[in-house]
Amino acid sequence: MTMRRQTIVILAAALVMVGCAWLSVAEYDPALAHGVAGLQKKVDTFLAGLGECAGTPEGEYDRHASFYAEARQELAGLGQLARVQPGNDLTVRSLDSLAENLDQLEAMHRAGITSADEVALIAGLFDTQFRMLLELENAKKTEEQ
Amino acid sequence: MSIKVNDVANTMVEAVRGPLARIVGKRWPAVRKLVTEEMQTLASALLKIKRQYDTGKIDAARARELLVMHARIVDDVLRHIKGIGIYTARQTIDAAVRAALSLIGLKDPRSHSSASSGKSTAATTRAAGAELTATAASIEPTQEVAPSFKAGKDL
Repeated sequence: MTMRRQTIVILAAALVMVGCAWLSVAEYDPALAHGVAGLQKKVDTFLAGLGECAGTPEGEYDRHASFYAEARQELAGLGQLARVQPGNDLTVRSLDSLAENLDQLEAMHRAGITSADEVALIAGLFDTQFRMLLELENAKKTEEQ
Repeated sequence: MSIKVNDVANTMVEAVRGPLARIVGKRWPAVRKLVTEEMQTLASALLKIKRQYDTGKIDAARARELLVMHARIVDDVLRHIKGIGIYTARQTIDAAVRAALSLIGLKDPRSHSSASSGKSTAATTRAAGAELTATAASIEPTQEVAPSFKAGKDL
């Protein structure tokens, strides 16, 4: 092996080690990304429906309680999926934050959501939260993915 | 006094520019577009909450609840932008590693990280990466950006 080749091998090995040590963060998980996209659609559809019946008996919490249970279950599943991968703290924290906002929405709904304007505002907030989470998941993709 | 979405958004972008630019470095011009778009959306939501409160559509308690949700999302947006910066940096280093390895006709050993032979190395080295993201995640951007939003003082 020539001196030049040896130098390149050592430099490449050093680069691999540095790359691994500092930037070997969680990898893109299609199941997680698709799960988040699916939940986004579910929440969006729910809020669109709620917007149409807010302030009427149809819009009362009791008629929609099952949505919150289902969404919470899906979020818990996504959280488990995210926790499997080391270096996935940002996603885990984002899913926790999403769960907190879902809890808050449920509390507000229980207390009464009376106008479509209010629902539209909440839908916009959830949209931003989901969109950013998907941006983060997509940023994990490598060139091969 | 009328408050414009762009004025609020620009104030928010300026508030986060310093800390974010330090994290994303040279990628700040690219990230700035994303930050500005998201801050405009969030500024617009903030003004809608204020308008609904001012017109009596929602009471103070509901406005406060919405502001807490809003503050949580501001935190999320900032965390995500930091994360996107980290992942972009990883891709840049990955590309450099591949280029260096291809010069000497070798494959990137990390491409086999899911195989049993590479798992232990990957697991060991990932711990450092986990530490990096944990540090980014532990930063509380709301304290720097919008303490009054959280407390609902603007009401």
